[in-house]
Amino acid sequence: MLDESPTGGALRWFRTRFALDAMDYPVSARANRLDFMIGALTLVAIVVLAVTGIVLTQFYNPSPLGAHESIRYIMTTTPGVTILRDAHVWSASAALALVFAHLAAVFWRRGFRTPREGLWWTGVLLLAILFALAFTGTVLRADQEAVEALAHATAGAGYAGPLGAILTPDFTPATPLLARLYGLHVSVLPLVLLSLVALHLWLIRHLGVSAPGPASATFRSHLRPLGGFSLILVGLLAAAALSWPANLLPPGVAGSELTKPFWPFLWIYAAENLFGMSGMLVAPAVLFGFLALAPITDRQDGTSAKITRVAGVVLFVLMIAAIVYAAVAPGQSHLDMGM
Amino acid sequence: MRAGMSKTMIVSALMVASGAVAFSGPAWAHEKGVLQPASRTLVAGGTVELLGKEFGKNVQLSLMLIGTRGRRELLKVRTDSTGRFTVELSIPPETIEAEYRLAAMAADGDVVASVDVVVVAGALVSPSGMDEHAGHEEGGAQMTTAEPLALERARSGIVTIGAVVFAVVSILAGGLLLRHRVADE
Repeated sequence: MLDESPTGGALRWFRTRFALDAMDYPVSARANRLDFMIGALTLVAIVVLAVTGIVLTQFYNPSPLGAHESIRYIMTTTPGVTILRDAHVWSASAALALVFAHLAAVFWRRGFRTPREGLWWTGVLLLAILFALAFTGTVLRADQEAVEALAHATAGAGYAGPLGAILTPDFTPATPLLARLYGLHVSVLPLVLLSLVALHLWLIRHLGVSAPGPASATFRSHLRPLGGFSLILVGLLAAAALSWPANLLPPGVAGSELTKPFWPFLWIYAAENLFGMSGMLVAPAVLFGFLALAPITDRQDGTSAKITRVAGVVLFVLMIAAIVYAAVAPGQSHLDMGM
Repeated sequence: MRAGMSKTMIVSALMVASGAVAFSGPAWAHEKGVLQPASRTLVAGGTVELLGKEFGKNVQLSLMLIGTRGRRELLKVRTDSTGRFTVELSIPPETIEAEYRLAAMAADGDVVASVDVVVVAGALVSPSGMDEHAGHEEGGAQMTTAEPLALERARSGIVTIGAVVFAVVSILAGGLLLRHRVADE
């Protein structure tokens, strides 16, 4: 029955002008469960990152000697912006935790199988971009942790030869490395992220969610629980920002190694503890190599599929164990360990 | 057939060549060094002690101040048998206040080490200048720490209450949406 009230008319106008009926395409009813929404919740965390990041750019100074001071200014002078900075840091943690959870869930239900390989590979690239954003974001603080993170990256870039030149201060003498990393953090990486997210969503729309069962629900019905979980996530991020604000270490002094990295990088730190600087290159290569190859090695049911699943589980458990180990292990100097 | 093969050979050769370039060691021929000024805030007309290390042995280097307006040679130095040098570097008084790159340049023009510095006018430098923030100074040596700074955070009752309300309303609204979902099902 057609709703003839003014509100109904306005809604109808809105639905037709913005093609909202296109959201009525069928999806599996199981897609309304939380474990099928982790990817969308990652996107919500990314949106929070973008919104808070845009505000922060108005207060942050990306010059090598002004960066740290500008964050001190944010923390000590602007009550609203400092809460947004705290929310930015918590959203980064949430985005990385959620993307890992999403990856683990999709891996477990083998959501990368034909025809969804492209979906999986864009997801793996998104993970890499999120790591790059977390790294550049850490460096922008220009504190002791930032200087040490940059020293590690510069050393790694040195091992990569000319391929790593862009991460070295000598790449262009006209612009400090910090300013170039800031450019990456606020423009290049977000643009790549946005493009990959768009491709990822387009593939989901056309290939469908990998949820089993008949497509007895519509995507529109999916939006209500998704909106609920999203609001709870945003509320929790705000609560975390208020309860546990982000800190700032003293300005960095090159040559010292006193800090541990942001928690999503702790598994790499653990690899460096064990294997020296080569761990910084080998550990990510193993993870991303495995993730990239998973759809190829798991093509059919049988031995290779079992081996891929077991290897994935072992890798995931090892990563968690490495993060816990690195968090509790005493700090260690890596730069002088060499390759 | 032959044309196809030659194309394949050319493409293969190009791939091998680009792979060799990409995975070979650094293309530069010089040993990379480290520049450590006693302070990263340089005073126009003043001096700063500069330590250089990890360079090639007994090589001549030009110390350059590079900015967006150009570059200027400050001094030529020669490393010792261990690849180190220590000099008292004079900053020309007419140097414009700005951020610069202090670079060590080899004889063929390659930059073999660099460090970001800022040049300020002499009158602007105070005992509590920017370097005060660069760790705790003790006896001229920089001591750093992994302990967070004990900063007095900016606070505002309105902002805090607003943020608390935002968090609570978001969580409650989310819960309501999820309850409706259960009711709908």
